[in-house]
Amino acid sequence: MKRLVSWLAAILVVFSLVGCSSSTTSGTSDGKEKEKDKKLTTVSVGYMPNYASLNSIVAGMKTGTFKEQGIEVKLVEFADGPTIIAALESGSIDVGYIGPGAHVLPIQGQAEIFAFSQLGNADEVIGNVKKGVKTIQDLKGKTIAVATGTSSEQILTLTLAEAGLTTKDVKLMNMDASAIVTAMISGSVDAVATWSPNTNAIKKEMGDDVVMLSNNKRYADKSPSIASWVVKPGYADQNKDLLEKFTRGLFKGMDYRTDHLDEVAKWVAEEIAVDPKSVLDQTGDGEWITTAELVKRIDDGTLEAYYQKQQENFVEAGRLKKEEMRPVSEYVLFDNMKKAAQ
Amino acid sequence: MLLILMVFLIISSIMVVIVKRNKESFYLFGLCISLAVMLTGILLYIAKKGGISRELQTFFFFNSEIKLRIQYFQITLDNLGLMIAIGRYLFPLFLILLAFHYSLLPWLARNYWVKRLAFCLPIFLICIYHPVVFRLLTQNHEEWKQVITIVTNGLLGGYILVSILLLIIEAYSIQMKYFQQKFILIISFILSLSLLYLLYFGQDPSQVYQLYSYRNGIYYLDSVLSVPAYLLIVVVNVILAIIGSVSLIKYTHDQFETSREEITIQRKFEAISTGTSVFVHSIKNQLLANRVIFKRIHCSMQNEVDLEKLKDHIHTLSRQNENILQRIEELYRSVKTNVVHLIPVPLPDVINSSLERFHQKYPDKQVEVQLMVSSMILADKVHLSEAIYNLLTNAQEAVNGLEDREEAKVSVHCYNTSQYTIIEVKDSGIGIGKKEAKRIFEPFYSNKNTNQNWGMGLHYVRTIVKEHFGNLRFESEEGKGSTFYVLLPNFKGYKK
Repeated sequence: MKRLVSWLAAILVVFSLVGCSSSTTSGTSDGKEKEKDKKLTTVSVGYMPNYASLNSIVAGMKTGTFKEQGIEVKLVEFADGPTIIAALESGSIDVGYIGPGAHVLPIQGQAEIFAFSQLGNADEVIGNVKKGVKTIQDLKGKTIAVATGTSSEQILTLTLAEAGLTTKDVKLMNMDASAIVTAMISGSVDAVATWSPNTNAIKKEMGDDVVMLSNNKRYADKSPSIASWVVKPGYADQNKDLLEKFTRGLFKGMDYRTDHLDEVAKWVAEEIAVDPKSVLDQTGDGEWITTAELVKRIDDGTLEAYYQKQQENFVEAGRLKKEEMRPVSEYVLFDNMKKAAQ
Repeated sequence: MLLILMVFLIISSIMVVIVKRNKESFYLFGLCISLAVMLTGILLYIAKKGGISRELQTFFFFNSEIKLRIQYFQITLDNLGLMIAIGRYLFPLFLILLAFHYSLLPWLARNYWVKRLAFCLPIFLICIYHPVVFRLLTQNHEEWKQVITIVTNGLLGGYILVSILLLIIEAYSIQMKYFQQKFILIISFILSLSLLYLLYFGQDPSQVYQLYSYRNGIYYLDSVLSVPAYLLIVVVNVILAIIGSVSLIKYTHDQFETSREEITIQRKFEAISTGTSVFVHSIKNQLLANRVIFKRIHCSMQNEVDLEKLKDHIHTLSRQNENILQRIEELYRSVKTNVVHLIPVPLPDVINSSLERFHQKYPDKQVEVQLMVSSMILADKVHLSEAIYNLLTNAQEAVNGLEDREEAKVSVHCYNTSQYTIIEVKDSGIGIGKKEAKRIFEPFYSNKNTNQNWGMGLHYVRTIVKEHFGNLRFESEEGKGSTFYVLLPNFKGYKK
């Protein structure tokens, strides 16, 4: 027994040394690179694995717009916006991308929006024809998979409202974005509310057995589907210069993206290790504007109107109390955007 | 790696349960399973929600393909949260039960209710953390979420602290160094499991189904430790799991062996003392009877010598002497390891030999004989016929007690089945009671007069039948009689 213990102790020491040496080795091999980039400040960025979330960032990384600003981008993948905001709060990332559904949290003071990303058209409600869901009205009494707190919940609320229904008229199954796909394909649910590329995956797998019941375009006039870049409250004040530089790098990437949609799609596919075609299919998921267009919308008040309308929609959907509404300028940092655009 | 560790923990705990089916291994199994359930839930959550570095992702899931499979696993967030909660609240329960089990504190041993009480809190917490109940409780009372979290953490912390203290006290109080070393290895394994549990102790499972329910971040998705630190913990756990499991098996095996040895010694002592008692009592009675005869001879020698009486006394003494010698011979034959020489023997020869001996003892008694087969068997004729003779005499003694002599019937039947040649000895005697039935094969057990019978008969029969690779079975009903079956393997070598 004593011999066994000594052997195991020896193995333990070897493992520990291997553990230590592996980290040391990687440090040495990256040494020259680090020496070269020693003035770069690392910014951890929370993203979702889709084109809309990654295009500007990846374009900036590939074209060197962040490095020009002295920034090294470190990407961290998340499934949805609310999780990204929670991660900002816990300090594991510095900035993050959120879809429309998670915007209720910045309004409630849990994050600040430092850059507008795009008006999206990625969210859809999809019905399973074989389960008798062919129209919005068929949703009554059906089981629907949804990721609560995200744009998935938002598009579902709008869709149900159009049919004169509420969430009490259906059976909701709260799932993460990936499980929603599995649930739909396996026939465990009758309909789903989710976003691209999950929507594409479902349609590709189920073909004519599914039908798109609604998408963001359908409600564009009354509910702008805004995606934004956020930081935790107070971060912008403490890191004003850094945030401005980051935003500048992001906007330059955004401009490159607008002119090179397909090329950036390939870069995104490479980054998240998926089939390039599946990312190319997502290039229609949003309205890809340039920095100049963004500044124009800030100046004429269009952007502020989007966010204002978004607050009203949240109140209407019951996700935000009326007393929680506040001036858009309190949580959307227009100044940062304008300075970065200069 | 973490996946491998969990699989390893589950397999090793199952093996411990299989090898040693006792409470201790069951608690350890519960400990490993509850930890595995909690960590699997957390890994599922991490795979689904992301938020960890690529290096850590590789450490947790090996590659993106496995991660994707786990990520797309279909489960609602309610069920996922409940899964983590079940593991989280059962681990401290099994830990404290294990500590109670090892602890020899007199207070704990006296108060059995403490063990039962330990179940209440984890079960209560699992109920509270059921997503439906949790939502009902906290829907309109945000402050309750914080209260529940703080109180829960405090209580669970108490469980863990008490458990660890009890284990340390127990390790310190073991006097024998050998057992102390073994015990320290076991508790090192338990403590390493606890360390793994404590990595995610500060987090509340309600965050899975109520993300952003309170300002508690997303700790499950945070990198608690660096990759090398995780690796070290996993390796330490695997090593301690191996050592701990081996020690546990060895520790309980040693204790089991010690107690088994004690039982064997005790049984041997009981058998020897019973045998000695029967033997001494019987010989003493016979010698006392001889003393009376000697006194009578002495008296008759003092007066006028009556040759007829003297002859009678000498004859009685001679008979007594033969009787003692015969009994001792029988005893010697019973206790001595019998070496049997198995050769093909016709079954009727064995039965006839037994009947011959039987009729020497009981010349006027009848035995009904039915020899359905005349096949050969592999047997030691002398020993086997002696064994059958024993069964026949037992049967005769059982019917001797009957008032109605016409009812008295002893029979011997022989027949073949597919596997056995069966010798059936049946009587219509007084039968054997249930309590008695359990002891009839014990050496020196007898319900008859110990002067004439030393209770070695059936023990001898059983030994001989076993030596013939056979079985001895019996059926009996009190007041109706008994049947003994000698089952001997069919002799395949013989073809008619």
